[in-house]
Amino acid sequence: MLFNSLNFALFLPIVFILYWFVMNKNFRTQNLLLVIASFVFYAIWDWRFLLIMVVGKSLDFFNTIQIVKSASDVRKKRFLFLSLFVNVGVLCFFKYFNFFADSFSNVFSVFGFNLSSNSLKIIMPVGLSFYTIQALGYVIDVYREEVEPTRNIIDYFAFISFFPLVLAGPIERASNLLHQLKIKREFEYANAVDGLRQILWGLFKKVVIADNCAIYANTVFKNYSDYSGSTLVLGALFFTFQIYCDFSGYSDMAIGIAKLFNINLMQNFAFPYFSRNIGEFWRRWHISLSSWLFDYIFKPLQMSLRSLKLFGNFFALLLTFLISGLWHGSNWTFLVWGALNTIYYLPSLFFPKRFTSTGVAAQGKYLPSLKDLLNMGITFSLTVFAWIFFRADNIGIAVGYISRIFSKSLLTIPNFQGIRSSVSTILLSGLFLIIEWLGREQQYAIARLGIQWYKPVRWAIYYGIIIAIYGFASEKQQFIYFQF
Amino acid sequence: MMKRFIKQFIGFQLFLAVPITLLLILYVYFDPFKVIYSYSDYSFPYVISNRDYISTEVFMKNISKYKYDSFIFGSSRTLAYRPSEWSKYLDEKAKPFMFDASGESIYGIYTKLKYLDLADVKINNALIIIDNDCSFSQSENHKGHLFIKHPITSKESNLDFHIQFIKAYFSPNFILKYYSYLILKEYKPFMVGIIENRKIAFDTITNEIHIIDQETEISQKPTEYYLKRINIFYERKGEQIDSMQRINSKQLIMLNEIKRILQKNNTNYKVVISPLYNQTKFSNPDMSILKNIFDKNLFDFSGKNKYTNSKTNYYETSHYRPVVGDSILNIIYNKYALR
Repeated sequence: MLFNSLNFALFLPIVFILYWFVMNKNFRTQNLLLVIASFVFYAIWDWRFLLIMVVGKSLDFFNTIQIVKSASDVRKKRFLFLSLFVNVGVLCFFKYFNFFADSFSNVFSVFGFNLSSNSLKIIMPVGLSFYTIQALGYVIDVYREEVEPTRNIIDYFAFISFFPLVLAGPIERASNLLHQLKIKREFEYANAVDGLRQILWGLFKKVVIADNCAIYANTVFKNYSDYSGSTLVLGALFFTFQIYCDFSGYSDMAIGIAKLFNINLMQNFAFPYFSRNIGEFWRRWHISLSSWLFDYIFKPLQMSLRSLKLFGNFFALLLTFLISGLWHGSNWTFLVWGALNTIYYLPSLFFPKRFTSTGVAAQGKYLPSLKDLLNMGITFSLTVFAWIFFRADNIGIAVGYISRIFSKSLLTIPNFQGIRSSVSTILLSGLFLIIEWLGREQQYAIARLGIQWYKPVRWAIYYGIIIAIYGFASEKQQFIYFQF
Repeated sequence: MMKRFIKQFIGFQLFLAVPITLLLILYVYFDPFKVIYSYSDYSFPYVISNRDYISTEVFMKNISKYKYDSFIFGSSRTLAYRPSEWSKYLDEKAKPFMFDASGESIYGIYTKLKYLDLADVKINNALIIIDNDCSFSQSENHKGHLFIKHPITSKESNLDFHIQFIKAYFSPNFILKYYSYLILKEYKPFMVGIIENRKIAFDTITNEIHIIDQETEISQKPTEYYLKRINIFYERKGEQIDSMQRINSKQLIMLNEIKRILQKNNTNYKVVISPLYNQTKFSNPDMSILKNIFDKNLFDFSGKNKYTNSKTNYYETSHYRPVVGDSILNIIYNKYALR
């Protein structure tokens, strides 16, 4: 069930009504409803996926209780490692089995054995990468005694499987979400209205910008060898907008939906394309994953490599980005993308004072300074370049794509099949960028847009967005991050 | 607070509900896809319609009266095989019916045959028209309002079927083109894809298709017709063999089931591979599968041959003319004397 589907438009009001009018006795009945709704929501994809989640995550639940009960450190560690082993093992199995099966099949075929790898194809359960690392974070937090574990399996599954975030995050922390699930939620008008507004904005980003950009990005990437350098730059820009609006649009919808239940999820994107250096970009892009990697991978690595000083930091950073790349899938392109970001990050690492940007760009002003504009331009260009590796099917294509960009044809006028119809998408993306710039100090771009205005004017803006969603809706595209 | 929220939410929705309700009322009133009401004649549609639905509706309405026992199955390319011409090669008492569908697949042909078989309809003769770009593109119900199968043959939900049409109707593209046509009352180039600009008639008994204006234009001014479409008829590279194997395991089961139903009914059947303009032949493994199943009942006209060589045998690069169909019928039934 996709957030932008008719089924979900029926599912959400039913859960909303049951939550506030039937199961509102106490926080446990509210949590029970959330668990049932989440399981139904998840099982609609495939009931077998639900089985994998329930069995796998139940083990983590019991492990956290055992960690707290254990008197000795050795015993605590044993349960921690059991969780780590099972979670990472399951994740690796589903993510990398096909990759290794195909590789083995290829190796055997060299020796004349015909192993059909098709019969062994494993389908990765949707959302596995997200809920697995959320559960892992919870187990580690309990082990570090930073979080009190829940002893109620309903509360636990309400935290792990909460339907707005189970498929693609935000990857929540127990200290934020589980804490909220342990108290009765009262209806809050302002939060619910804000939630609806955020859902609307998320839908606009996904349906109007991401899905339309996807058409042109796919065309250019698919036939890149036929196009000029300037067209390939345009294709990469389309993908840059597609991936941002697709994923941040999904996150906005997830956060907005949670607000309808008076549950506040963490912000997942904070206008990353207005970052002034790569360090800032990673504090603003997929915040829930970046901060997870920082807390559970980078910091422990940095600590254990601290004797190597700056090089220790470098290795910790490199490993963190490589793991981030691997988390996205079993393709060399993701590893190169991770390595590239490590290189981009180096100036921030070696000269932290020069590359520390706090707050938003041009805070309280309409226009940025020339220096900020230049820094934003450089950071944006580096990000677009890295996205080419992220989007390409393999390294060969990425290299081919980039080498065609840096040719004489870079100075020609872009041209591809459908360029005329892409003009409206380019104009809409430009308008979208302006709205994002104006709203960059909020949690999402239209959070305060017209909030003080007369109601009919404010509603007219919302109707305008709805009409744009309706009018510019293109062929429905799967959310990019579902594949991870 | 909840009361205020609900009040505001409903108030907001009401503004949206007014145009939606109005459009819905107009949908029920105009029935643009002709799927709500029953019609005695589906000819000259001004909205591109779902042929599967129309063929099945005509069949259901007439079966008790006309007792059809001979069927032509296939995509819109079956328009080259006219029941009136086909009947010349069949038993005098044969009652032919064109059971076609847009973009018909082996799934559609199989479900139609299964439906006829279960309904105890006699299948004395069958003419199955297949090709390599359409027939094996699907192994389940088609998506989209133009291609989804009639629920009576697909055995799928009526609601899902109608939702496809409502979705199509509410697309801005459709609303703009459809209502523009209703207001202007004439076809304009921007209406392409939604409004039918050809005059197409369907026989109310046999469901035979007649593209009146195109056929008239070709017979009266053939040079002008093809000159106008010079850009459509691209240069071909000679005979190509399809490199892709298209028949999958599910479709293989369907092909075997088709044969089983035809054998069970003692049907005199022919399977024809269409002569397509692109001159592409079926891949060798697919051809072996088809030969293995249909043996002598299979007739292959794909690739480079007398039909595909001349563009005058085509309306455009997808559909061939009845003159080709007539000639093919003559070849495949050559062991019978033409009555």
